[in-house]
Amino acid sequence: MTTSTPLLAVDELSVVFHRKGQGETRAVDGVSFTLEEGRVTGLVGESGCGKSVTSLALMGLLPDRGVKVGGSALIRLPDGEQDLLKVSQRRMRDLRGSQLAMIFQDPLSSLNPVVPIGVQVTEILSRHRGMRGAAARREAADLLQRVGIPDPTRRLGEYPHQLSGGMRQRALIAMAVACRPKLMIADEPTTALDVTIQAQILELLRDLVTEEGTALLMITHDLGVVAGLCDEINVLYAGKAVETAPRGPLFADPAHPYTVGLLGSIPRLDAPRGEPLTPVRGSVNDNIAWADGCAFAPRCDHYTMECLQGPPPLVGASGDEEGPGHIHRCVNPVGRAGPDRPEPETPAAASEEERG
Amino acid sequence: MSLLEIRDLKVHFPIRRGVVVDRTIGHVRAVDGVSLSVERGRTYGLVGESGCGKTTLGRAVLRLNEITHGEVRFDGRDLAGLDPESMRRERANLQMVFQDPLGSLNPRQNIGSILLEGLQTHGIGGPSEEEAEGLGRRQRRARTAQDQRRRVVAALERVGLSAKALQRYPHEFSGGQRQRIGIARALVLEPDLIICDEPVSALDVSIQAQVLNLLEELQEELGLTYLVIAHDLAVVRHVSDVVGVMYLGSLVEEATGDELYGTPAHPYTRSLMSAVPVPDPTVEDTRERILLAGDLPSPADPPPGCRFHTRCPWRQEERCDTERPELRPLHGVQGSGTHRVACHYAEQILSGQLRPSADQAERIVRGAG
Amino acid sequence: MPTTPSTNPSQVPLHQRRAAKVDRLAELMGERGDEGHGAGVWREALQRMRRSPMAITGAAIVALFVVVALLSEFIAPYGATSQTWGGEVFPNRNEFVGPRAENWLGLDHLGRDMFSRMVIGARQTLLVGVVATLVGFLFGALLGGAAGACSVLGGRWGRQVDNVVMRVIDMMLAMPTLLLAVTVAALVGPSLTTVMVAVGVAQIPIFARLLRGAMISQGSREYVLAAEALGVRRHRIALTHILPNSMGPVIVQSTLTLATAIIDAAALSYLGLGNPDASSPEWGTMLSEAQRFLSSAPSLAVYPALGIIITALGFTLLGEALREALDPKLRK
Repeated sequence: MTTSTPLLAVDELSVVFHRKGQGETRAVDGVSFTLEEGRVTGLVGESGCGKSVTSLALMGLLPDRGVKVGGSALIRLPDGEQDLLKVSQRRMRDLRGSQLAMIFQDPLSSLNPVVPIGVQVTEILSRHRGMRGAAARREAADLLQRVGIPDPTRRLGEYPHQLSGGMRQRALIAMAVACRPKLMIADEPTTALDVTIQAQILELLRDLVTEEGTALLMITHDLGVVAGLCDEINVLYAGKAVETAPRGPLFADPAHPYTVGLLGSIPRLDAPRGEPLTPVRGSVNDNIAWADGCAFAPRCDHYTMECLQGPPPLVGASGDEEGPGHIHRCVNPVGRAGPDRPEPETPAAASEEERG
Repeated sequence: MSLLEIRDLKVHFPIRRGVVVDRTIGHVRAVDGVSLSVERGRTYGLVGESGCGKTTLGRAVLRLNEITHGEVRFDGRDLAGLDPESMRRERANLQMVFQDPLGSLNPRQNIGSILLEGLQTHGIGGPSEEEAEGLGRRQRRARTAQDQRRRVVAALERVGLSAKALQRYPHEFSGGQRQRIGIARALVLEPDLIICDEPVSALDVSIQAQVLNLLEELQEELGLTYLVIAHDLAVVRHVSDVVGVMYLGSLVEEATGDELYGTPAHPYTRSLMSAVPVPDPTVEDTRERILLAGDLPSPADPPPGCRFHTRCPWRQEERCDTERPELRPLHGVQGSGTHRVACHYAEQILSGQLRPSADQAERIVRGAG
Repeated sequence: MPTTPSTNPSQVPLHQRRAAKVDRLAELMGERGDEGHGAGVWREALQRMRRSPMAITGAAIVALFVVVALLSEFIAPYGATSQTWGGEVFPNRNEFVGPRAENWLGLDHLGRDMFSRMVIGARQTLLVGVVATLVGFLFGALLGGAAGACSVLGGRWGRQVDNVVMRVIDMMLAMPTLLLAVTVAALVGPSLTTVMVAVGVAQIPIFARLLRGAMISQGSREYVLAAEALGVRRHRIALTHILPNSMGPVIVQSTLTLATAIIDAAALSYLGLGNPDASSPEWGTMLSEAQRFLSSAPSLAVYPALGIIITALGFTLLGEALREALDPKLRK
């Protein structure tokens, strides 16, 4: 770990939605992580865990009304440090594209359908880098070439619907990297794509990070993608990071039962037929408020009375052999069976089956 | 005899254009000559990327798409030749589980009515003939309703839901529960074959695993036969006894899951396998990735010769471009002898005799290490 | 209760601790309650509308209008034609009588009570609106439903049938309401029926296109495929699956159509194609009569105009609120 300040330090980020007549929803509930140049940080979790809301909050893309954002996100810019959550709308627009870039899940809806790809790319170049005319077009073609779009000069004149899904995502990445942003947020960038195309896009992202030194925040539900790409991983559940670790320890020695459950849920290509899956019970709807205890308790096989008394603290994983940076939010972490760790039990509390 | 036997199945969709009268100007060859057989009590997994025709194939078995050519023998009868009414009745024995758990349930029907529909349509349930004799019409109807309800509740409980669900509507359930309802709908008819079209791809990871486990339990208990169609090779391998890999409307390789994983012979299978992420950093860092060039060609205008030659790293001059390879047994490999592949050079590629062409080699990436 | 040996040194027996924690968990989870008790789409929409100010305003206006129209005999203090105060009004000399204690809205140019005429006119207006909408709804839904069902389930032949029906509907759509009304009036003479038929027929193509479009879009949904895979007969799929799910926009449209029908009917009456019978005034007719005195007694025109506008607004608000409440994007 370097001692210098990270490129982006997100501290206790929280996002609360207020809806009329429905009270408030804590979509993100105190998430902290850091991003460094040339490294990939992953946010992993299932739907509703708050991973996408986190990215929208960082990009300043949440609606103005009915949302309360708390915490801080300090970014190191050429002209000093700034809190992304507090900058003005106008400044944010400048930062987006020049310093920050975002890639979304659905490339078709992120591109303007009635404007040719070339115009959309040159627009960014002229806005943020002041390039015009032939120079901008040349640079745009170069960018498309870089992200692996064959025959880029012809493609510049094409409309989004003329490109395939993979090509669209490449075009979007080209637009994202047009201004050599320091920080890139990719929200499920390959979920809508086929596996072979996914492999191409992941390879492209990997190259960008190593060659340009971009810091990448990778948001995904797929632990397989994370295993191949991310340096540092945060597993989110119900708006909180339940486990944070470098990828080695996370996969080799997961501490939080939710991480273990997720890993046990994925059929592995290299496992023989019939190897049982050991998924988490229930669904994300079966949770309790973090203020009351561990939100995961209703789905956990090992919860105790202790889990139901206030929010569980963030603790370092025991055993130094894992190196620093492995922390989790569990009172009875997996694989640390001491005399206190209770036997697995099947709680009678509302599990998915009984609620049906 | 196999429960389901598909022989040279073709499904071509006409492309129509025209102002007043539609003219057929071409065909999308969604499925273009597929032969496979599914053994009773086993699971056949069909894997492929979007546009490879796997969904069309699944629907064609149920005749939800018109079959252009070929045979679909189910339990000895050729479904392709049945008249619509007989086919409709036959559907009691072949059921389907759909990808989108919410979209495949009618939002205005409660669960009870969704599950009863199949029983009512096929007149399943009710008193036996001799029992029915002594009963009046109204009594008979009451007994039938009672029996059908019992079957519905049994199916619901089988998939892990309770009778409380009967009065509720699809939108009141979570994604996983909805998919369970979809499975119960198929199950209640006690079919011989269930076609699962992307049964878990719309679900969260942990819910996926629950549903996969449920499918396996049901197979063990009820001796069901599955045709599982999915884009996720890991899912297919997990549930299937035999895996078939589809590319652009045809099968390129077929083998038992373990053999396919151990010795993938077709270049497409190899690249597909290398692209599937494995949740294990050590594996991810060390294995080789074969990145395919370009995109899937249009099924309306498939390339001549081997369908895969436009993207194949091992492509050879002449033969690959002109001669379409048949699905044939793979030679020189130890195994059950059921491994089939549609590649002219599969053996040479396996033995390392053939190397990827120079311009494609850069697309084969070793892990960062 | 299973009795697994405990490794915990605590004194409390395991099963008691287990029961305690299960209770605690149930307590913490219980707060959110078990939502959903078989509420169908419509019931949910109603619940959502109860919270919408737009829906409440619209419903209040519509309810008031309907009550007034139904009970007009009891509400109207005087008859529609009673010229009790004929001697007090002199249109030639620009002498009109404004609002006063016994005539809340004043008198018209023939010395008739404006309030009573407005109240009685409400029933005529409602009648025209409802009948015209019903005509449009019934015939439109029939045509559109048939076309939609044929298109979705009829294969190639069905698509041809659909094609023919839709071209006929396009022709109807091409004919202006006014021209149609004038034609009908020329055939049977100006009457309320003329207005109702003319306005209603003009709505048929709108309903037909809407229902057909909704059915075709529902027809491509997976639950229809699922029903087919289940072996459900085609006519049953059309009736029990596609049709009920396609009715939402049509019902919303009929609320909105009520508003336009009222305006259209007023326009036709204004042009003199409406009911010439003075004993059953219609707001449009009243408006047309008041035109002559617009400079001297604008209020005679303002009252019926306001009536038309507010009623149309009420139906529009209700329709829009219904559309919003039924919108699947807003449903959780």
